[in-house]
Amino acid sequence: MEQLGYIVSSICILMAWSYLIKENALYTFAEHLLVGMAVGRGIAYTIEVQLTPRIVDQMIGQGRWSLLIPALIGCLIYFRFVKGYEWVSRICMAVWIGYGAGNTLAFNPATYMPQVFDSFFKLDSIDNIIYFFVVVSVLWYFIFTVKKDAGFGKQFSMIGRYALMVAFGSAYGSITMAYLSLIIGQLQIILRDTLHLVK
Amino acid sequence: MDWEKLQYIDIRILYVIILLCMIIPMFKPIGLPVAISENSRKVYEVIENLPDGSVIWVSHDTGPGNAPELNPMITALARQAFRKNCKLVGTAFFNENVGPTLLYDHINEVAQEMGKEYGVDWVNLGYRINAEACMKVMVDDVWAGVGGVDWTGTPLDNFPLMQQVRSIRNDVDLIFVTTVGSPGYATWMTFVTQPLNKPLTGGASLTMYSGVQHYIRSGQLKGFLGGLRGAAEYEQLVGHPGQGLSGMDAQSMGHITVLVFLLLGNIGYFMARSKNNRQ
Repeated sequence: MEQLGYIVSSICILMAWSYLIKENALYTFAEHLLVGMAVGRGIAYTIEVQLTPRIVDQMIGQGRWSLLIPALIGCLIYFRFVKGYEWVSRICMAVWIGYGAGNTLAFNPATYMPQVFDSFFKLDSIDNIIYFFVVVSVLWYFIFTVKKDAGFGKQFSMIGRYALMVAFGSAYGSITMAYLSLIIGQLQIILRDTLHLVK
Repeated sequence: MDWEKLQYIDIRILYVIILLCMIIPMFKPIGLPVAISENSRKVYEVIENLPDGSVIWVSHDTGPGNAPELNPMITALARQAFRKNCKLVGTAFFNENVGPTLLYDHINEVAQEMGKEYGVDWVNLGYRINAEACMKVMVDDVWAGVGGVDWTGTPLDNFPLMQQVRSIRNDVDLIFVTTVGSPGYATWMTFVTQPLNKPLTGGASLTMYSGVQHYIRSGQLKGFLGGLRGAAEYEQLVGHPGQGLSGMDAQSMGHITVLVFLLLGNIGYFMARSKNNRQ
């Protein structure tokens, strides 16, 4: 059974890779298969692990009827399909966005403040000097309320820009490496797990 | 010579060459050395320094796309944790379809090999919608956060380990996160590790490598495993070579090939430009 799984995986990988030659029916089939399976499994998983424990066990079984309030607010989203009452679905979104924004604003400083504190250090090594210089120049680059048309302001802003370019280059290099790792994973499924050609 | 041709090599030819360069080392391993970075060593040490029997929360926040990079990390973590008789409690917040299954498969493989039992030594709580809210609730009540069931819908009453793990605040010693984006390090940091002052470590896809450096520098993240390379280093530290190390030759050859073509493309560009300037 496990071997059958690997064979199916390998076939799907090759169908997806066929896109590299050009878009074709095999690729489209693999794409639809993936979407269909993901949606189907997602619905089953949501019913089994999210809805059943909360509705059947907690609401009906343990009498936690307060859960009905968020459930009803959530159900309002379906009003977008009721002509003339689409606006009701926005209540659900408003609660969701309000909760999310409030939560993030309340908790985010705890994540970012240690980094701000970490940028206050002694300039006693080359690393620290470069770090400090780059932090200040990048911050300067993003200050748009001051004109930086010429002179030191412009030059310093350029340094910030170059620092950003280096960071983007590093990120791009990492992404290339990551994609190669993904190819290796797929090759291992085809060559090792399915065909048993490599160890 | 027509230098411009170097800039316009058919992309399909490049795909085939890169693929061949990666496949050949799989058949005939070169055995290129893999040096262990400071960040990978930190991850290993933070787990090694935990007292035996500690509870590690492992969140495999990944989907099928980046699984080849992150799965070996979970396998190696399970090996190191079980060797120290640590308990593992898992979640997978990124993808409800494959995340929980990947987590289960990779821990289960090691657990069976080392004689560890599901429910006693480790539990997989799976995916829950709205990771932020779930994490916030789990800080004080894990059972309420996950609705009282594991990833298959089995009530948590059935698992002795979950009698011991009631809240992240009091019962969890370390958070280990493997991630490809959001939810990920930042989410765990915001809602769990920073407010509770709990240590956070783990790994991520290499696409995130640059983006986590400031967290390591500020000490919010105790080490970092970067992609397949990080997994390979961690496997070396744990002393059990696995999928990470076996892919390193192929990855190195892939990098060399990409670099060569990058150079050729640039040589073509500059030569063509200087030729045009002369004309």
